[in-house]
Amino acid sequence: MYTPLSSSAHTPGINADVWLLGITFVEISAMSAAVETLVSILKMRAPGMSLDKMPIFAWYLLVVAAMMLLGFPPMILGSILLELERAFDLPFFDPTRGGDSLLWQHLFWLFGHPEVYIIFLPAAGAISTVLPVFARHRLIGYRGIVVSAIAVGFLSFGLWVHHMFAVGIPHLALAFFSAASALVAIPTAVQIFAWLATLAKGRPRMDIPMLYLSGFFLIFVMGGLTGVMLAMVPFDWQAHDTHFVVAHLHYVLVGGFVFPMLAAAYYWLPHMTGRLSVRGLSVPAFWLLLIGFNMTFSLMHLTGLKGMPRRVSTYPGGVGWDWLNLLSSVGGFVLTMGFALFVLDVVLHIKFGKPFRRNPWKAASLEWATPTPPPSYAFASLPHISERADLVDPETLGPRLAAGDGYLGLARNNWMESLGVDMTTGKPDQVIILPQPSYLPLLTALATGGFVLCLLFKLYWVSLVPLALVLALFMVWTRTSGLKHDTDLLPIGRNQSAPPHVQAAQAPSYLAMVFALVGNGTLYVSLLFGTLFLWLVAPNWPPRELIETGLAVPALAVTASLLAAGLARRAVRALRDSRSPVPALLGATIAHLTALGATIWLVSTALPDPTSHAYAATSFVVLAYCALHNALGLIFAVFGLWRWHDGFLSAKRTLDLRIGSRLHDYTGLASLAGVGLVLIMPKLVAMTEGLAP
Amino acid sequence: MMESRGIVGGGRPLLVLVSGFGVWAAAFLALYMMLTVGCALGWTSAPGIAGLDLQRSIQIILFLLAVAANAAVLITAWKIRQRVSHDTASLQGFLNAVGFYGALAALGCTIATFLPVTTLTTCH
Repeated sequence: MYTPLSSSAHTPGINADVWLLGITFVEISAMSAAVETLVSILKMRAPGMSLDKMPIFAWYLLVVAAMMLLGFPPMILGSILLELERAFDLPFFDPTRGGDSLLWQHLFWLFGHPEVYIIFLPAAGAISTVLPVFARHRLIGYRGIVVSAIAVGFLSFGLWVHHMFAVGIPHLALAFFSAASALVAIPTAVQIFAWLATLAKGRPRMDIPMLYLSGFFLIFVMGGLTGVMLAMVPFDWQAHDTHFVVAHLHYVLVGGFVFPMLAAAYYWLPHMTGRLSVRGLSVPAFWLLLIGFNMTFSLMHLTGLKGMPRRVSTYPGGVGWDWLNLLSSVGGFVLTMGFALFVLDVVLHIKFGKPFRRNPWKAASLEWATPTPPPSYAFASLPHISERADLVDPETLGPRLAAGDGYLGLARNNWMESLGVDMTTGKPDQVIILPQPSYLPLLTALATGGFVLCLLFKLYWVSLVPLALVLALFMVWTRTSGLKHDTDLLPIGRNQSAPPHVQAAQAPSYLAMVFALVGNGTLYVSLLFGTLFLWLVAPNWPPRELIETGLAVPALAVTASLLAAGLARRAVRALRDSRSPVPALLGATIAHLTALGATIWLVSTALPDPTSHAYAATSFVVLAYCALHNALGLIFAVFGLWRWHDGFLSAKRTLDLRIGSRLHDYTGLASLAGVGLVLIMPKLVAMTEGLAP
Repeated sequence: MMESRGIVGGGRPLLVLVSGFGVWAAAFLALYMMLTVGCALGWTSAPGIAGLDLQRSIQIILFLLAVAANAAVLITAWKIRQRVSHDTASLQGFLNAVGFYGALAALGCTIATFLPVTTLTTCH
């Protein structure tokens, strides 16, 4: 999908659009999952589970979710820009009109390399959970693993250019990325040594999941070592775009993800099915996979070093690649047989596996304290955690929780409830009243799908219909949450009580808005940096035409946006003081309308034709982003008025307005940065005029 | 006990845990951005400080600032570790240890990643 090959001139038709729109919406949904994961881990742990008592798997997922939140937006931006280029001829990646195909590569790999660790870290979490069970020893180096996971999370954002070592980036920049690429091996190695130490200190038993974990060790360590080789720029220049890279990436991803996931599947499937797997098939499946994989991909190291390029459908004979490729092909068949046997094993497991009552592996983590297979509500009551949550005794804890001997072992008002806790200490601080089961999420997803299909078939005006439907369904959805009266503290069990989440200081939905804005902000910063990148690096600058506007309209757009943010804050204060928030919310509504009008005026009258040059195209997108957020601000302000009218708000129940206020704040700042950049760009362009890029 | 003096609830302790690597990430962004700006604006031909060109001067200054910031985070984490709870099995002990070793690792990463600003060619 590298530009310009993926631009409409070189890839006409709908295929690339399917990919681009698909990846955009999948990644938006993945970011929603990241927000969900972050909020769940931080706010919805079992009571008493302070940060030091979290199961190691939760730490891994916390880091991964944060990485997704920051790593996916550049890719979403890249795919949106490329789709805009393909659909409307906006030349972000066209070097003849001030664009640059390297912008695409930066945006893609800024997502692409953290993604490797986004894939690996959950698998590492599974290993850290499964391995101690079969080593029969608690995980050694829990704190070291937490530090390592955090380190990997950060370092993985400093590696992306190692996919671009050969594109002509200055040596000093290459050194930054090369060093970070090598450094990331250290925290990864810390985890591997912690796992080996756990095995060494314990009395390992080689059951099926452990067998697959041994395959992981063998394959992943080899993949990691070739990764360090490729992190070195001189070696990378030799091996770049050869089969050596193909071998490396498969060793890392199959070793670091597929084998741990197969181990995890054998470990947790019994929890879902209540049955144990048929050992007679899972062992031969493992050997076929291990032998087939190594036969297929280890030989590619050699074909790569012998100079065979990747991404080719055929190659000349007689240069020493033939027999290696033949053996790789045979290995591919063996590997396929291994996967087929695994699938058959799973089917037989579900159908004919041996039933068991609880915790067949003698694990010490909380999930085994539910009945197996688990009921829809998981736990009948919530446990109080007083030790590390992966060192509990499910055999005694499970029956106690099933009998209601825990938090929220009761039913009231026909509510579905869970507990919210302090992010650090795990102390309960609210009762989360969950929405009832509904078809609205499904309907909203279908309407969103309709919107995507309209974009795909270029029915842009028609797409407004499903878009309006999505908005309407969201609004209907909000009717199912919230309370219309103030509530006293609610008993939660163990002689404790807590307020409902709408009266709590930090409800999960509030935190979710903050995280969503962090992800959104990452996309926006990527857009602003992308604009500056093109100014500095892309060929065919300066543009012939620049924006022509005075200061009045841009100042109006920014001032109105900032005013809306201020008024939204005032509405929250008014509500807290038992006064009506209506005047301030009406003011915010008018301010957003004004800002929206001013920004649209800028886009439609002052900007040069967006198809003429990448400068105009990026300015167009920046202003459109600001306008979109003013429109969202408008919706949130009106929504606040609606919630007030319907009685969902009071001095105690300010949650809806506080959530909206964060969006209004963000919109004000986005408008300031975006309109400011568009205004300053002509001066920046004048500064570099005459300098060769 | 777990709820000993010094424990802060909410999300602040999580920010402390990541502050060392946060400095590393900010330094990465600043150095790479200024390198690109300097190469585009011809700072390699402009005079800087101590006989160095402007480009390298700015890179070295940013590098030293990053090391100083990382060192400050590390010293702060070390002081907290000395001052607050010595019960290593407690929540505070966990936060102290992870914060301190995270800051130490981040300082090492900052030096290893950005030390080349002192020697390598900048815009070639």
